Amino acid sequence: MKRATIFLLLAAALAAHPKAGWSATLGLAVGGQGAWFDDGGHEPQRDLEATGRAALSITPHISAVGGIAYGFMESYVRGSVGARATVTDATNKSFSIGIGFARHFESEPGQLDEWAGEAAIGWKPLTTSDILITAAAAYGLDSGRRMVTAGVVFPVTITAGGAR
Amino acid sequence: MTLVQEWLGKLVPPLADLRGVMVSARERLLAMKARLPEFGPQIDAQIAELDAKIATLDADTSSDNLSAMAGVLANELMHGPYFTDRPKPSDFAG
Repeated sequence: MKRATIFLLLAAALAAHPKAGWSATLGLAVGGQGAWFDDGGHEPQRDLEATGRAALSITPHISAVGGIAYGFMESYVRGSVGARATVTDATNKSFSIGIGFARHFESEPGQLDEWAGEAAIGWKPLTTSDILITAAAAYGLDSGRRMVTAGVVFPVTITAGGAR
Repeated sequence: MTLVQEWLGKLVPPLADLRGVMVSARERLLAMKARLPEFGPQIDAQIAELDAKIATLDADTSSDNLSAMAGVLANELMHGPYFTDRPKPSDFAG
């Protein structure tokens, strides 16, 4: 029911007032982060991860997001694919917040292997660099397992389509 | 008002301030047009869209007509010209 509601809300947002001049922007990023997992039938776990992320901005406020991460301490690979509605601080466009859902995958038990609700923040602290400070939290809809990540990534943006 | 409420208020323009946001966006577009005259036609088109939305709001000032207001807000959230960074920094978190 939760998933159906999320899908319907995103579909309604995508369908609202379609216009010509649509363009999408793809972004890629690599970096490192700390990851913490808790509850949901497994022991608490924490790790240091190398991460690669991709984001396709479908509209200025809807993005398809995904990524893969490798945990150095527990030697796992985990990933996620999902969608987020994002907003930017009206007075500081270097800061944004996103809320959405994603399907998470894991190579070893202990992370998330299910649909999860997500909330994320990102901040570009420097005007001279594109480096981003990011943090995210996810909640497994089936197990109730929680994940929190915080780290630093370096984005590369690829633009296609008409300018907006 | 708590700090969290103030912070959230900055992130999402309240519905009541929507007209002010659009007027502000229109002013920024005019400034952009002065700086970038080569993009004049495209910017004029954006201004015309904003004018139409502002006129819609002005024509329907009943605060209980949430459907019309939500439609304008949804359109701004999808296509508003004042949030331009794409993808957003938070899209890379996870």
